[in-house]
Amino acid sequence: MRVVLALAAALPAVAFAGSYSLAINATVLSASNCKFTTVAGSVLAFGAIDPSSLTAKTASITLQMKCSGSAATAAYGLSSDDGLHAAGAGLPRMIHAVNLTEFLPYTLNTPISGTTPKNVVTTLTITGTISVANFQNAIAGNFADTQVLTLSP
Amino acid sequence: MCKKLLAASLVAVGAIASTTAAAADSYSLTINANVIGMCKFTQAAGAVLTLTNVAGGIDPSSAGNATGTANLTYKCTKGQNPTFATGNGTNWSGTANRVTNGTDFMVYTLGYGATSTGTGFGGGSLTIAVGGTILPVDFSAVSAGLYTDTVPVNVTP
Repeated sequence: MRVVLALAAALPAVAFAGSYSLAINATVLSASNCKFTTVAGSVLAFGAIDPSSLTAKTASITLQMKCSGSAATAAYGLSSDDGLHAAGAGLPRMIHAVNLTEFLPYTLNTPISGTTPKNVVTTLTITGTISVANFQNAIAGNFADTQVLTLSP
Repeated sequence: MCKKLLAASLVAVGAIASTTAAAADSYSLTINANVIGMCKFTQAAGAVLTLTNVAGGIDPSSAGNATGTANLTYKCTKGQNPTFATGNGTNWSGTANRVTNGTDFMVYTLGYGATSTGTGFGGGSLTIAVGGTILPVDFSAVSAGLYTDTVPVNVTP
């Protein structure tokens, strides 16, 4: 009988050792939260390039975004990922549609930063440039790239 | 010992939350361009093709063709193969190009030497040899003098 009592006294200790540590996770977002409002599918098209031209080729497109959140004014930033065929950081290139060893380097005016009142649609202008040096010795044909633009916060 | 374990797990949760605090949105932007395949002459205006069958001119009694060559420089988009063609000159007869001294005419033809594939517009120029010919039948019965014409030479693409 005494032995049984001794066992009962040990039970609470066993139960405590088996307690479960439950992780409680909640993410507090930044005071602002910006989202693109332009639907997917926008194309920055340089169009036809005359390789004998002595003027850099530029093209622009506008994307719209809106920031929400607790802050009255949002400070936003737009960055790009250098696309699918970059020669290095900050050196994006388009690739030829047929000849996959031919590239056409270009630049975008990213990163972009600014401030905007919350809940107001804001237009961002993305400008691409192809320098004379980069197109004058390019082969003829279509070139393309895809870059992921990231809008934060 | 068990309380220490619980405290450690709370610290870990806090660390996870801080790494996901920044909100972001992304947009997949397509970029494209079309480089034109083209050729252009880089030769300065004023190139002259002189046709002779003897030193200094054409001997109308000769049975030899009067010939001459002029080199014209050009550039093409990298990889483009040029084609050269002769247009209708100032004294085009309706069927042939001719040179004239104001009184008489001599029919001439132009031909082109080997072409070079384009290397782009950033480097040096390429050269095309333009050969001209006047047959004896066309110069054997004409008056003396300087015969001239101006003719367009076209390159494509």
